[in-house]
Amino acid sequence: MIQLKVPASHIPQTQLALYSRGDLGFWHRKVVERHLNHCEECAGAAVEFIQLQESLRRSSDRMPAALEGSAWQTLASEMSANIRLGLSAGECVSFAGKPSRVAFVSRPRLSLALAGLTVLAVLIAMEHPALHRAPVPVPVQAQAESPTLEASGDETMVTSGDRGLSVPAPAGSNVIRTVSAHGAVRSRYVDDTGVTIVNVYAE
Amino acid sequence: MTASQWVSAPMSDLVDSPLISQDAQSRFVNENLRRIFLQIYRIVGNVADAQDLTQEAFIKALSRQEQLKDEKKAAHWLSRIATNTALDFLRRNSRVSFCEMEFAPERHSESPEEILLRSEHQDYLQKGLDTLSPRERAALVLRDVEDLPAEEVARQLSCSKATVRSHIANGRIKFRKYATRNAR
Repeated sequence: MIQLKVPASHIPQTQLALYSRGDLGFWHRKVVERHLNHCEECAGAAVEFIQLQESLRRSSDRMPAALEGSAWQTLASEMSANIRLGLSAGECVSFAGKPSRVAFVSRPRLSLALAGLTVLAVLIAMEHPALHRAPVPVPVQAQAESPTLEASGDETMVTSGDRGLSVPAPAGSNVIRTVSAHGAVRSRYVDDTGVTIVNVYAE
Repeated sequence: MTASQWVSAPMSDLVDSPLISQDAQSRFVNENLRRIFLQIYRIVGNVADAQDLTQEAFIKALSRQEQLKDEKKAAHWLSRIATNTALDFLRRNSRVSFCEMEFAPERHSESPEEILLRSEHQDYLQKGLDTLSPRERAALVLRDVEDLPAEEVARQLSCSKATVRSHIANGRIKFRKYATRNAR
C-alpha cells in the first residue's frame, strides 16, 4: 500500500514572530503549536525569534559602550542640571506668558473710554468755540524699561518691566559669580549632581 | 529596570502637591533617568540625541504633571512621553545615526577583551535595531525590551492593537534577517 505524505505548509513568518512572545490569539497559537510539533524548520525559526528577543532584553539595562563607568555619571549630572534649568525657565515663561488683566482686559476698556472722552471733547468744542484751544488729553504710553540683570542671594534675575526670569542656585551652595561688561552674569556652583554653570545674558 | 517593574512612589509626591518641591522633582528624575535615557537611546541610536530628548521628555512630563490622573500609571505615562518625543524627533529629522564612541570605556572588573566583546555586541544589537523603521523599532523596544503588553505599546504609539502587532512582527522578522546576515 502506498502512503501519500502531504507536507503541511509552513507557518508564515509573521505568525511565528508573534507566537514567539505570546502575541498570538488562542486558536492561532494552538495551530502553530501543533505545527511546531512536527516541523523542525518552523520550530528552529521560532527558537531563533525567542533567542533574539532574549538577547535584546539582556542588553536592555546596559549602557552603550561610550557611557560606561564615570561617563554615564557625568552625563546624568549634566542632564539633571539641564532639566532643572529647563523647568525654571519654563515656569518663568509660563508666568510671563499669562495674559495680564491690565494688558488684555483693562486696556481695551481704557482705550474705549478715552475715545469716548475725545469724541465728547470734540463735540463740546464745536458747540463752544471758546473751548477750541483747550488741550485734549493724549494718553501717554509708558516706555518699556530696558532689561536689568541682578544677582542676589541664591538667584540670578533678569527683569524687564513687570516680567522677569529667575535662575535659582541650590540654597547654601557656594556660588561664584562673574559679571562681564557685555551684560552677562555667570554663576558657578557645586551641588550633589556635580558642577553647574549658568550664564544669564541681558539683551 | 523596565517600565513594568517601575515603582511609582516618587510621582505620588509630585501629584499630591500642586507646587512640587525641587527635591521631589530631583528624586523623580534620578529614579527614572537611566531607564528613560536607555529607552530613547534604543529608538534614536545615538548618545547626543538621546541626551537632548531625555531632557526634553522630563521637562515635558514635569511641566504637565496635572495631566496624570492615576499615579500608578506614572511609569507608562513617562514612557509614553519619552517614546513620542523620540518618534517626533525621528519624524522631523527622518534619519537615524549610529553609535558614537567619543568616550573611552572605563570598567575595571572586565578584561579589555571582554569590554570589546560586550561593546561589539551592544553595537551589533543597536545596528540591528537601526535596520527597522522608527515605529517598528519603537514597538520592538517597548514590547521586547521594556516588556510592555501589546495593548500598552499600541496606546503609546497611538495606534490600534492590530497595527502594533504588525509593527512588532515586521520588526522581529527584519531583526532576525539582520542577525542571519550578520551571524557571528
